[in-house]
Amino acid sequence: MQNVFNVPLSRRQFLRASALVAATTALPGVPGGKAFAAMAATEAVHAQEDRWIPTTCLGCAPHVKCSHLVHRVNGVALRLRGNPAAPFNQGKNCARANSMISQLYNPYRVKFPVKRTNPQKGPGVDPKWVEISWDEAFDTVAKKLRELRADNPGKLVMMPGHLGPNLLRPFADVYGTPNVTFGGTAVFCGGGSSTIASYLLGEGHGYPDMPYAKFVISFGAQSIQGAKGTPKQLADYLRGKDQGLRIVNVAPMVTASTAKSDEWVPIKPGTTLPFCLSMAYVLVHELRTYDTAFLKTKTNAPYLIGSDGKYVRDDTATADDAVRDARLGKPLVWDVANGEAKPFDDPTIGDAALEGSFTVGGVAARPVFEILKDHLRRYTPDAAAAITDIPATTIRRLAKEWADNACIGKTIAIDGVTLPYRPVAAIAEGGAKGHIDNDQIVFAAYLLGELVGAIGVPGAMIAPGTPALRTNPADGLVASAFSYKPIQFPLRGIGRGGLYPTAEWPGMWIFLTMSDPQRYLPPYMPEVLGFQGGNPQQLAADPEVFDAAFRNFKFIFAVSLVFDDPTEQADIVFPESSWLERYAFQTVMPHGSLSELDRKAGIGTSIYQPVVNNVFDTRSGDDIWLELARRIGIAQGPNGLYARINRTYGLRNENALPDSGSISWADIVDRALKSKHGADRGLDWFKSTGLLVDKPVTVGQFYAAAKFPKARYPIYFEEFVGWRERLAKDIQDKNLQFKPSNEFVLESFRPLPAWRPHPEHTAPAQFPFYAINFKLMELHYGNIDQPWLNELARTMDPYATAILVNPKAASKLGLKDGNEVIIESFTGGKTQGQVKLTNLVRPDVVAIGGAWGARSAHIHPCARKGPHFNALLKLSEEFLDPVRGGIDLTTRVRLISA
Amino acid sequence: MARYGMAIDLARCVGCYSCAMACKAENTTSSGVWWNKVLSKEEGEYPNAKLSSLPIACMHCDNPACVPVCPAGATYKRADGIVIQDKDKCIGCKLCIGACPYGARIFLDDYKSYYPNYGASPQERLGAASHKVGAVEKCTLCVHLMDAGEQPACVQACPASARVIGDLDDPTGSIAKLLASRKSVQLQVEKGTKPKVYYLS
Repeated sequence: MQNVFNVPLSRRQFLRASALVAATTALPGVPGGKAFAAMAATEAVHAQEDRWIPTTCLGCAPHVKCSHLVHRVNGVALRLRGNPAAPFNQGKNCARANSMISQLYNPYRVKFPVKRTNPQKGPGVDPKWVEISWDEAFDTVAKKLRELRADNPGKLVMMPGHLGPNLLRPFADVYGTPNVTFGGTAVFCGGGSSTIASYLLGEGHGYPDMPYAKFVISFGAQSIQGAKGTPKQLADYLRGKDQGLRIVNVAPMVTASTAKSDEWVPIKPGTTLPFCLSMAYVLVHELRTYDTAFLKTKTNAPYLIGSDGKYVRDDTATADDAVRDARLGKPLVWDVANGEAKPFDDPTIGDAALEGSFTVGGVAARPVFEILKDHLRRYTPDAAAAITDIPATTIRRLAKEWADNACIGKTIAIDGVTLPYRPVAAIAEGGAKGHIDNDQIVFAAYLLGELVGAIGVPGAMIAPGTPALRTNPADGLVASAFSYKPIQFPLRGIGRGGLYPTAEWPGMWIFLTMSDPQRYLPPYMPEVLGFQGGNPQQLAADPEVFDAAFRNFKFIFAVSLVFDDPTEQADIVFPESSWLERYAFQTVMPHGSLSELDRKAGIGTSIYQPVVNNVFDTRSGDDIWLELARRIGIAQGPNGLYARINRTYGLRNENALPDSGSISWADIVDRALKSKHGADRGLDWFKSTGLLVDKPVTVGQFYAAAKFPKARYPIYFEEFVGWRERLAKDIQDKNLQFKPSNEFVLESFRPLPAWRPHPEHTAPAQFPFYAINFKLMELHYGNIDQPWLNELARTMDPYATAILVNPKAASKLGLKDGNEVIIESFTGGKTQGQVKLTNLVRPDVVAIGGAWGARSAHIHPCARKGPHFNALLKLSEEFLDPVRGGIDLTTRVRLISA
Repeated sequence: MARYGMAIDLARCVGCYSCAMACKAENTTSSGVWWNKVLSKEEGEYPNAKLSSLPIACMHCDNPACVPVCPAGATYKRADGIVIQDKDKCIGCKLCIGACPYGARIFLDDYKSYYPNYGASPQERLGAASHKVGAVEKCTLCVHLMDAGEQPACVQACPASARVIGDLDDPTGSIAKLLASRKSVQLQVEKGTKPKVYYLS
């Protein structure tokens, strides 16, 4: 079924001869301003023009793909609306998207290439920028990079942000540096939930299947009502609510994004893990409600574990293990039917034991499920109540509700495909997972679903796209999303891994290494930093660490939209076109649940295109990387950027880039579109339509249970047992001493989640409050200098820029609404702001939303106001999750009247 | 003739502020001016506190308090029930601002740029043309869109589909059906203004 969504250009675009836009005379007293001088000529050229131009949004994280129409009148982008022809947002959009025009015309943007003339660098220190020519900018940077490359290309560190630098990574590859580090997208980014979701769901963003769910527990998740907030996710949520979905918000506070939850369970910060395990205790030990058939055939619950914590394997039936990179015997299960151990996939198994103790080949062995049951005994509701500050009765009630709604044994037919129906989902996101045992917290929440068969099926946690799971032939389980890279010390590089063998989270590691070279003894010190987007000072934890790391670079160049905190440290800045001024393309597909409309719409491509000529003298970042590559001399040849681009975008035959000449990014986009959609569907075709959605998504592709019917899911991460042994040996061999202790690191490598207090739980009593951060409905973290959004947040949202304190706690301190306070964390971080009293936070919590308080001198002044939560955090080993490398996002603080 | 009104489903509204921003974008309002606002309301004590959102703008009253007080005839109700402020007739006396119980009206003392040190952007220069400094302004129910057969920007943008616009007198229309089937409240009915924005609870 070919299903092409073209944008109907009739009704909306042309019935718009409104009085509002007919008159174009400027208002007296509203001068044009020098910044916009170039625009006057553009307006003249386009006089009497009135068009709607389709494009794609880049107002928040790039996996969210809303399509828009921009109204261009006389060459000016006047306003933006959702594209009603786009299947995923259907003409709807969010406050961020609606405000994008205010960023396009923001005169605080980088308007032309500049170089610093003040050698002194520091937060808020004026770099005394002076305008330079494009040639000077390119030649200066190319010369530095050519010399550096002859020495050691690894001395170039590159940092992309999340707003779509397409060619930064290919550039880094052909240049030869492995040191590409993500510049932070948000305080709450990814972390353990991304890896666990990849592992268990087949995609890095787990999401409750809202339209089919009946009961959802949200642990700190700020995405429930669509903060970060796609119209699509919100529509899914409302479809669920319309059908009686009940949502429980288990979090230390109520935010706008969780305000419509049916119940608030005000849990103590950082205690989601014992809460989940206690619910599991009630399911397994008190209610004895779990999906036995699912556990036996779709998990490793029956796999036998020896006294060493590892599988007991049958060495006669071996297979290549995809996770441990070895040939291994198949794990055994105990067949109760004839009282013997058999490989897990033996077709003669009558009934695999979930409980009991057995002797196999003279070795004592117990099924995984038996071990889990035993493990859960430490998490009775009474024990969990003491940790979580939630009454045992509440934990029991929610566990009962979970069991009652799980519909164990039931199926549902969608589009003629019959699948298990388990309409319960637990999502641990945001602050709930941002701790030193990040991945274990998320695993504990998924475990609740696994126990009742609620994973990858309608109504449960699902991959909000089309899942991709790999099966490990050796044990039949979905292949682990973690992998063990042997520890390196002395470090061989400065990039990912190094000291933490499974850490995939590279965002902070290079900077941590560089900020303290005496401790980490890097094999070389990087000398040049080049970045496009990315703002770790603002968006990641602990700006001081990044400031220190930045000071250690001899030369920094930036491709930037605005003079944000990292750009202020640069020596040369290339002005970047906004996403409303440049080309790009991306795959679009349903992101969220699979509604009827999504099934009809499916998968396709949407483009970004310039909706106006460049407002200032800017270029797309991708064109800047191409030109730099040419001037360095790494564009051509079999290892050059052009060849790399051919490989990345699959450009072959007539679409392949020639190995010469001055190729533009627009040309590459055109060739990529033609490769994907045919010679007649190049950039020109897409410029008029904006998007093409031509591959339907079926239920069979969407739910993991349908796409991978034989998949087995781990309820016990056995690979971690072996990795802990390797790590212990590595630590001993290399004589390492982690902070705060080697035991702290080793304890993180566990097959089952286990509770231990976090640094904030053991902080000194003179820091009486937990400090937490939350997402705002109206802002993605990077939007604070968009003046419309900033004004909206400040004037309309009383919680956006304040320091939220419970009235009972405030009265003890004599604090009133509007009082100015300094917050000081137990690790020495500080920020300042105005108190707002609210009953929406626990009395032992202070909460700060978003990421405010930019420090740079040349950003829109509105972005400099407000408290900066991340300044309270400490980026140091003892606050990192050793498995993933994510940072603990909760701290303990005291309030001091300013 | 139609009698236009709006229903806002508070059970669907999640307080995302999309309507407020869509209104600003559509009507190119000055810095500091928001015709369409979302208020936050907090009720109850910890741990039983609740947070809810209330979008407010002009109520396009059947019996608008702003109309009789206007000495210039700048404010009037159209035959289709949309209350209009004619900026060219407005003399800026602000009597209507005092009369409106909903705080829906704003006196534009200056069309302020969002970039105070730089002056107006091209978008602001173009957008300012539909405003008059020294006049009172407010939500027009996007009358320019309504007259072209389209819905107001806030209705189009609302990702929750919480806003429904339509003819209150058409019993077969979606808004009349919604009001017949759901409980709704109007704000400050005791003022006798007969507001035509209905909040579904």
